[in-house]
Amino acid sequence: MPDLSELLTTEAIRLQPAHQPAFPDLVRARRRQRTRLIAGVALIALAGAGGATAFLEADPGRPDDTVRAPAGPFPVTVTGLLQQVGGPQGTPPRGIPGTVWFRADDGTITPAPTADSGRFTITVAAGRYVVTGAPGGDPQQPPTCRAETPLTVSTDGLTGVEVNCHIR
Amino acid sequence: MSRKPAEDAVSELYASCYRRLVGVITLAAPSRAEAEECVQEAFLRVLSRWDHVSQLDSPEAWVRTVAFNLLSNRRRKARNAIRALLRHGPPPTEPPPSPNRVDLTHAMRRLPIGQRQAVVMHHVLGLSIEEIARALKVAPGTVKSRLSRARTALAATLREETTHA
Repeated sequence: MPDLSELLTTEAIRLQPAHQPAFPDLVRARRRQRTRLIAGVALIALAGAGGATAFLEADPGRPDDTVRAPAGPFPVTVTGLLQQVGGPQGTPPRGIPGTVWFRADDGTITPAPTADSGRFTITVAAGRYVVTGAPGGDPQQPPTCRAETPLTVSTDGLTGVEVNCHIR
Repeated sequence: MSRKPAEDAVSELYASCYRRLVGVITLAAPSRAEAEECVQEAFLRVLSRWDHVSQLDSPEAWVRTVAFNLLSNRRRKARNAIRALLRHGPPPTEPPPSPNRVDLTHAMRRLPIGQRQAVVMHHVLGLSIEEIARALKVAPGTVKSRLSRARTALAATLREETTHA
């Protein structure tokens, strides 16, 4: 038999991948995974405590005729990104054009179109929002994307909101 | 150490040895896709333990051992791998070996995973029996036995494939 060590070493070199995903992408993917896990655990806890009804009521579902300009005396600016995530392992998130909707606890929905890069800027009153989104140019289509957890916008505003469209 | 400098340091380690580690782990894994997942997970675990790992003589060896252990654990969690396959679709195909070469990878994959790990650690990484025993958390006698059985099986398979080539 040929020298096993030599054969295996050559084989290990041949099996090396030509490309590798960027490490920050791995870290981001892990953080998203944890956020989803925490959100799932929170939902279960909420359901167990009998609060599931309140949570489901906060889900905006399809945007309707209640869309209107933001109310509230202290509008602040929120920026973020509508992005496509998932797909083959190593695929980084990619900003996509579309629309995002901020639904406040009182049912007010504030829409904002995104740029081609997926970036958006929206002005809303400080408060708590469930954020959803949809790719494409039709603002009437049902939201298929969402931020992982409800957002709390302080009077200082908020940056870096990620609205994820998962590839299935 | 704060998170950002640790992330930078691990990122540097990742850039320097990811491909090499994937090549080695693939020898013991059912596929390169699975090897890549184990190596990536091992690097992510380094992040939270960088204070300790950075003090070691070879952080790469620590990552490699964790990746090997993850590979073993995965055998017990095959259901997760099936879910990932359904989620991501089939893994990319690996480059085929040149036709005039013995398909060593094929021969390796006919071995049980414990034997594969022992062979790779001993014959590729040059670890001693005691070092392998420590890494795999088994007795040195078990490592010797796995190596002996693996060499016998490989010799038979490689002879067979050489004859048919």
